[in-house]
Amino acid sequence: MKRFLVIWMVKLLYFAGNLLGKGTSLPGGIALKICPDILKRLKLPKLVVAVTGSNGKTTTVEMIARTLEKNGLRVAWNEGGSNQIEGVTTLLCRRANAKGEVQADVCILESDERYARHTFSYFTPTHFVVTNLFRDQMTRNAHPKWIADLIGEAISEKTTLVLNADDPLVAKFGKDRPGTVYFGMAENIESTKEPVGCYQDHAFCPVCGQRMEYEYYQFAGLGKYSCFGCSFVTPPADVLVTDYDPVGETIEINGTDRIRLAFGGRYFIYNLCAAYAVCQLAGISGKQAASDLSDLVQKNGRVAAFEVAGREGMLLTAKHENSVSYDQSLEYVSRQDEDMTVCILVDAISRKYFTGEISWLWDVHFEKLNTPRVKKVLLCGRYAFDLATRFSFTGISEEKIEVIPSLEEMGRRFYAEDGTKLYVITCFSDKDKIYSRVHALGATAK
Amino acid sequence: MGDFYEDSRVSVRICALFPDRMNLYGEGGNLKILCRRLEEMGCLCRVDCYEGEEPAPNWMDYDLLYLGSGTEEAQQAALQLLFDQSEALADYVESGRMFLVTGNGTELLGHSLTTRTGEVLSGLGLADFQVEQTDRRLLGDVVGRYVGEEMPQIVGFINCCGTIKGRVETPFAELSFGKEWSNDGIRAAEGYQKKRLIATRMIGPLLVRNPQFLEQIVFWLGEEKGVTPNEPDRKSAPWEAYRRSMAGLSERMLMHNEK
Ligand SMILES: [Zn+2]
Repeated sequence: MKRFLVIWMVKLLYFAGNLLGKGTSLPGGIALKICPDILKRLKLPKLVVAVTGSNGKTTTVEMIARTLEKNGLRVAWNEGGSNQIEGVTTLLCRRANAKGEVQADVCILESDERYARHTFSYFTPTHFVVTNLFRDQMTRNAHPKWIADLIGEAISEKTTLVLNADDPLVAKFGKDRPGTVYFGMAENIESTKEPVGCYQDHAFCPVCGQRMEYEYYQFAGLGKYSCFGCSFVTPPADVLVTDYDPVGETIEINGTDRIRLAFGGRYFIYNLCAAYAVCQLAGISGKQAASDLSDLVQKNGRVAAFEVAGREGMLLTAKHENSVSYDQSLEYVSRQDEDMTVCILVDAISRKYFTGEISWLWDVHFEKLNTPRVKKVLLCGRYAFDLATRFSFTGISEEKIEVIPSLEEMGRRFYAEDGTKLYVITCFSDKDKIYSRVHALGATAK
Repeated sequence: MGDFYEDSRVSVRICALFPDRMNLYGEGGNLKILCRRLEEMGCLCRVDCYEGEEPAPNWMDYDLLYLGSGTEEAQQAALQLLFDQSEALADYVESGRMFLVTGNGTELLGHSLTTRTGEVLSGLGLADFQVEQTDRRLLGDVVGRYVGEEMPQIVGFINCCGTIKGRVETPFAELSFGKEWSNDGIRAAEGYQKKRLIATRMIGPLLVRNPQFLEQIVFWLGEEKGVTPNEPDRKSAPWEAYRRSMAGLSERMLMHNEK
């Protein structure tokens, strides 16, 4: 009876919240107060897939959900990324009938890395996808290994793991767990023999602590590794990118299925592999999944065109305090074959208060902008001088760099037509400070 | 290499301890800015790396040793790899040479380190304290007065899971903001100093964020070498960034005190 009431209350609150434009975690939060084990009392579908990791969770979940829906499955998923226990509770109650049965064939649940252990103390997902573990918001998350330990607490013995084989910290979850599904990427034209970037997080074996040897790297410590100390190696991938064509922007999986790539280049590939793997687990053929995923990934909110006084611009969204996310945007910019001005805006790191913590700036590979095509670099926002200090070690000549702490000044500077295209890299949290000063043209396909 | 010996400049030799393992929070920036400043002063700066995979060098060959932060696993590995150097390092510190430690590298200096699983490891024994780690992460901005020479306040960030047990009589700083992240979480004392062993639990680019403290370090190094530092450019980016950081944190301090 209590279950019945709680489910209906969530449905009502959700409906009312929608009208008021309120978030999706509130109804679940109230439900959990009234009935803390409500999640335990629901009857879930046969396939319940949890997705976690530092980068790309939301995109991965969306790709999986849309592909499965396209193939006629009823999918319950946390659209909009309400990924803590409250959001998951809202979603599942909302989709449940009077008997507490979640009306879906599949649940795809994006899960916050730190809070997954709370959510999954009430029910056990059938599959657990871990996309990657990178340095991400370390002012909250401590460090990737700390997060790995917390995710470890969320994983039940009964769950089948779907893991990034090329990320040692992630692949470690599959050690001594037969049946684990791995996705990975074979050596390709963009792999490197030496690590690229500012730090060597993955250089030491997560099992025994000794230094590992890499046959090649893809990026950020992902690659083919082996440990001399304990024989921990990159596990063979069930979903393997056998070919990557950066010019044609396609990948080939397991030698047969070709998928078109969207923005993100190679940084995006692992998420695509994870999505492909889950689609197969849900009974979709590889060929079908590849075709549907190709159609899906054409639009991406991370790159948006704008125009300012006749000057063309592109806004690339990265995440502050997440060096891999920045590296991804920097790589995109550095590959453009045109003269450009690059603006980096770091104005608010935390939305709540000022923090002086800028150590992550030393993890971002800003050296990538040291190319002849980059004519000017504008360092903007409250942290402009912290950026300037970091940039003074990139080898980029001083004449190219302008330090502009004031946002008004930055806006005016955009109008200075000098024949270059303007590329702006900033965080979701600082995005509006750009949009209020330019004429947005919307998300683009490329 | 030849140039190094032929160069007439005064050379300053630095050894970075575990620059790969213990480089979690932008530690690399410290050595970059330190070397640049030393070269500005007309010194030749040479940095060697010790990752514990090769025989330990003669520490006495160096003017400064530097150790930063790592994951708890990296930290334990570093302790294990450095443990048989305890005595040599104690001699180094006794000799009055400089040993700069930031972040949870500091946790290795005491008599013992109790890990999150309750294991008690012997520390390097360079400092008179014990450290206990728990599952609770200590995370936050701090501002403090350097205990020693007069200078503007130090700004920093703490990100660790260890608390220092035992009263530290010679801390690195007295915190005026973020006291809950101090050595014991109660008193204002943060970090540890003995002779020129300078250890703070503040992470990452301490010298990048605190040019006033960088000046102190190069002053001491210069003193040893007979080099007087030239005037720093106080309008340069690190100084401007410091002032802004201090202003931002002062604002928070005021709000905090009003509560
Ligand atoms: Zn190993």
